[in-house]
Amino acid sequence: MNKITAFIIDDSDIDRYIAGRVLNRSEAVGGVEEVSDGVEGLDMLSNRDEFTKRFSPIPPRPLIFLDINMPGMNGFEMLAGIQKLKDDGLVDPQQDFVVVMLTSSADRQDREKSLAYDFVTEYVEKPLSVEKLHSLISTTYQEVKLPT
Amino acid sequence: MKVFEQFSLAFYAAPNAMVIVDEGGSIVFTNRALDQLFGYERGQLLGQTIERLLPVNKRDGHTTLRAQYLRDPKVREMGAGRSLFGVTRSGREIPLEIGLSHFELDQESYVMASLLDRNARRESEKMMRLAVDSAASAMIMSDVHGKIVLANTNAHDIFGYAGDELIGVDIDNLLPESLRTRHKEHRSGFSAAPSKRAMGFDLTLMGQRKDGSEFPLEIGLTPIDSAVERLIMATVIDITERQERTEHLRQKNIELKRLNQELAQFAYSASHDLKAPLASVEGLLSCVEADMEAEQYDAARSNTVTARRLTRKLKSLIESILGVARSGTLQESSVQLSIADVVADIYEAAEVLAAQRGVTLELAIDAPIRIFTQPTRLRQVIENLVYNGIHYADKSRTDPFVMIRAQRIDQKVTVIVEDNGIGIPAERQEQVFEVFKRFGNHKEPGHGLGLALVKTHIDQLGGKISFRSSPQGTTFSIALTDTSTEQA
Repeated sequence: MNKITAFIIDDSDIDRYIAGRVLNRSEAVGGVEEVSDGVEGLDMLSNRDEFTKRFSPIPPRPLIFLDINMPGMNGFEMLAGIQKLKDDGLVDPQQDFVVVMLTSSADRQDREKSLAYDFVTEYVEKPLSVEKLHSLISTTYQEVKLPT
Repeated sequence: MKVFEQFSLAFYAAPNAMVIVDEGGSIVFTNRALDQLFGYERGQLLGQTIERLLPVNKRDGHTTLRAQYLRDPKVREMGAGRSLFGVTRSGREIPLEIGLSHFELDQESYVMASLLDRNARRESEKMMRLAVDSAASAMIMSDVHGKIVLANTNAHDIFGYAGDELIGVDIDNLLPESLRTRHKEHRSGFSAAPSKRAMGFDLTLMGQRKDGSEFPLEIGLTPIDSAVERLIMATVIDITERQERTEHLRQKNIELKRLNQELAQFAYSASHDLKAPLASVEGLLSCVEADMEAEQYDAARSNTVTARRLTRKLKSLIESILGVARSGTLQESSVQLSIADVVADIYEAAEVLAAQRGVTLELAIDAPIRIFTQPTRLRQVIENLVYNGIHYADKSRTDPFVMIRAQRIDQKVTVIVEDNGIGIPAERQEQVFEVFKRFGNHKEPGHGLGLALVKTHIDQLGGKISFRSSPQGTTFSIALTDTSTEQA
């Protein structure tokens, strides 16, 4: 059984570090990739061949943590970008990746706006913790066994 | 004669003055009201001719008229349209309205006259006029042809007419020229099928004053059918003030909505900007905990340092937010300030940072310019603009600068803060004064509150702020009014 590769998209160095620490401690996670803005993140997703190569083996699908508040392209703009890639048939979230929002916003509208995208699986408030991570892995991945 | 005596008790006490004469014009009955009106004792008039009650010069003519009436006796008013007078025992003339009727008894013809003292009627008309005049709204009564027959003081006032000028005027003259023809049509429609109603429904009706000026009004119409003719009473209210109040309220409402939106946006941004570093601190402390367990003391120390840095940033953010929140209500007395002194203080504090960035701070004020204003606000305004100039200097330049100039024309003081920095992106320039908007390099310290604070201060000082910005630099221009002469 393969481990999950995590992919953090967040402009804050500190928050990427914190999430990275939690992810690296989990035995369900095999590796952590990170970028600091939405443009770069969307670029990586849109090149499907390169993406699958980089995050192989799939399954399990790579786990994308997406921040909302970022300069340049923010999380919502990136979600719209993914939707467009999906509509154009360039990606298939069902097979290619899992998107989880990781944000400090507890705003109800932010949560609803995010979860309105059917490929957004979870809305997690920062900071990421081992408990939050394992809870979302167990509900999202049937194929990954968590350490007890 | 016996019959009259029998009836006399009943008629005697009637409130209207009544007199009965026979064919020859002899008085056969008077009641108490008539005796009192003419000043006679009871029974004193019996047997006298009716002409006794008329002014001397009318007596002969009356004898003829009396004979004519008996040839064709109908119930009618006497002397319709003319003023009739009676004369009292003491010779005083009294204006009268007289109704006549005729009856026969025992083959004798009799005429009964009932008399109404018009003086008494005038009293009650005066009372009514007083009541109408004291009414809060303007009241105008017109006949079916639109001729005004009654208008109270209020009506004269709101339409700008004096005394009783409106009486006899065509009511259409109280409308703007452009509406008169249509109103004439509406008016005949209403006269034909009148009902009590408001005029114009939800339309704004306009009236025209004597001087030609127009004003909005509200009108209620009531048809009044008197015995003689149909009259229409219009109750008119000048709604200029009400409209102004409504407009004022509408403006206030828009303003409140805008402020509410701003507040919601502020709350959203503030909660995010406050929560984000706090969540980071929480995350870092979890890391420190793990580091301690793993005895990774270097990592623990490094994470603690980062957490402390975030905490400091959070503290400064909270102070900035409080600064903006308080800036609207900051109470401070104005003092005489020298612009050059204020700038010098700010430059001194900013010196080290400016030197690090290679930014030259320049001040070009020829003559000393003094202004009577609130020191904290003015200082914070210039300070924010200067620090923005330093933080967003163009690193590719060899000569980055921040330059302050000031000039005075009469009471108007203008302070100009110019830099040759990277500028504000054209597409974001509209948002410059909004809270939590940042445009440049996010590595620079700041919370996106500085210019919001500047704007609040300038507004509170009653000044104006404008700017020009391009990738070659930004120039802020502040216009303030020196209030010192007003204070003196």
